[in-house]
Amino acid sequence: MRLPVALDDAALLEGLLNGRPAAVAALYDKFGSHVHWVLVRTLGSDRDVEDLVQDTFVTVVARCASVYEPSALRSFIVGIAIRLARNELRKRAVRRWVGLDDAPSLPASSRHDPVAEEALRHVYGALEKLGPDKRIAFVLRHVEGYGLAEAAEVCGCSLATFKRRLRRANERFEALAAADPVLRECLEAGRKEEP
Amino acid sequence: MSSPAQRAGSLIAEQLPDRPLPRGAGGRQAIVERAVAGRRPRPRWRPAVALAVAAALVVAVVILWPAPARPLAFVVGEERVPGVVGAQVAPVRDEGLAIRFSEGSTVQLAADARARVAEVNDHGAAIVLESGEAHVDIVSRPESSWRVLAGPYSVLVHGTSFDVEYVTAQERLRVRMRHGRVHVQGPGLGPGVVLVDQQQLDHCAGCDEPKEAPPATASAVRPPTTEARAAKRPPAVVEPASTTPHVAPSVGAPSETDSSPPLWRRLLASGERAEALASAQDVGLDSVLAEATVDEQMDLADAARFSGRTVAARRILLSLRSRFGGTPQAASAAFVLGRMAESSAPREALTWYETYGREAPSGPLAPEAMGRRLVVLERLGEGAAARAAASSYLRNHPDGPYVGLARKVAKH
Repeated sequence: MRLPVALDDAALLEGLLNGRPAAVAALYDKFGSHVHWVLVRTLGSDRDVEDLVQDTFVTVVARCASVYEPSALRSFIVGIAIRLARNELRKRAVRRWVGLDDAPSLPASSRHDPVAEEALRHVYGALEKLGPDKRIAFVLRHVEGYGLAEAAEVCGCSLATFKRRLRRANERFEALAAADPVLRECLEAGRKEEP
Repeated sequence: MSSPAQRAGSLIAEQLPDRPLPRGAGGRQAIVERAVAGRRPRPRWRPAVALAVAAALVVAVVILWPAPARPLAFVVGEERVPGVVGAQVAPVRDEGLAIRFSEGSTVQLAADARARVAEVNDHGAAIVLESGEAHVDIVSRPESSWRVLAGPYSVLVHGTSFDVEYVTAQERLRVRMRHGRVHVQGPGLGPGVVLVDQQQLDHCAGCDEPKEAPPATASAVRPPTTEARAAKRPPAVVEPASTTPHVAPSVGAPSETDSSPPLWRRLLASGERAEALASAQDVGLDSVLAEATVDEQMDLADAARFSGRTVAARRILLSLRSRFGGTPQAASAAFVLGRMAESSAPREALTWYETYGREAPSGPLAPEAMGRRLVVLERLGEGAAARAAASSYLRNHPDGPYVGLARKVAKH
């Protein structure tokens, strides 16, 4: 099933449009890991991420005809993953509200630093209180590093709407961080380290 | 100058960067099959049909909402006797015994096996394999949640098929995958081991000597949090069954008793750290700390810290340093003690950071420990000591996270 050479996005898209299974496999090989980690960073947990990765790629293949420009393929894939993540966040919120779900645990960080892991736990604790749309705006802009216009496109909303969500997310996060001694200390230390 | 939101975003990006996935993770083949199967043209619905369907959906929602979730039911044996949660199930005939669940999953016990269905809900069940071997075949469903608990081990299951065997006397677990994916947790397995199609795990928590076996399939094993954690335990053996016939390696002497591990230990092994800490405190923290391994003490200390029980956390960390002095974990405990003391007892924090620097000068937390020491010295207004610490930091950790502060302090 593996393709002998890595395909560029144009060839991948053409393969998908022609219904070639090898193109689906190559698409997953190229973007699977990134989609996995985008979902983990957005959800703050690796629970159910494997299912969401599968759903993302199945949806991408089903809707690939709407990608007119090969260079937009990556944003298109991330956009679908983000929409699925938003649905998942909403479901989790409802499950938690009715007492059927605990706060998900964080995946192991790459550095095994107990202090950073504790700070990360508090960051996600604050993000849990933002609501799905504001949380996704926060993640796309501050974690994934998207530009405002591109992030708005990924979210499927207007630039003005995205800016509004991001502003509210920042305000709410900063209020929560100010009230959390661990976050306050961690983020203050980070500020001091900046040149 | 960046905002707190930007710094928090950077923290997430640094701690959870893109990393390669374990081989076999992600369900590549399943994605291809689902994607190809799903490429059917969507039917063009006429508005009237769509309206009728919508009306039917509304009626269905009204009738079915709120539909209470019903837990799975299960039956035992060929006679399909209704199962009882918590009751022990043991075959009386040589051909074994099947436990069948209402959504299609089965657990086939071998002739000498003993098991209990400890819990069922609408997503799955928890099965305690007390001893012997079982073949587990779980139907893949969205949000399914199944666990097989065997002594101190916990096998987290989604849609999959595998054989599992537990030898009580040796606390030995064997898992042979047929297809799918499971996550095995337990003592000596660090954050857990992910097994995928055709792989095997053979792990012995109760053996005295590490076993000789073919090399592990590294991509399927998540690295433990520290090398020393792994060194303290007999290694897990993970291998692809399809290429290497599995030969049971020699094992260490069996333990003297086959009694179950205490509750706190089982809870820790299954990742329920807060409950494990509560159980340890019920039993008596001193007696637990006297027998807990260094990994277990680290986990209990984390549970105490993350739940805000700083007194208990400090007690556990001090016990760890007393019992396991000279290990990397003891040095890490010094660092964490420093972090805990920073706001209330900054001079004590300095001592702990210096202890870390002395015990693990090249340890993974050395740049952080020396950086935190610099931060504390600056807060205390110890100008000369801070400048000396800053110069030392720039010399020893020129790429460290506190290099910006060190430059500023060194200039003054």
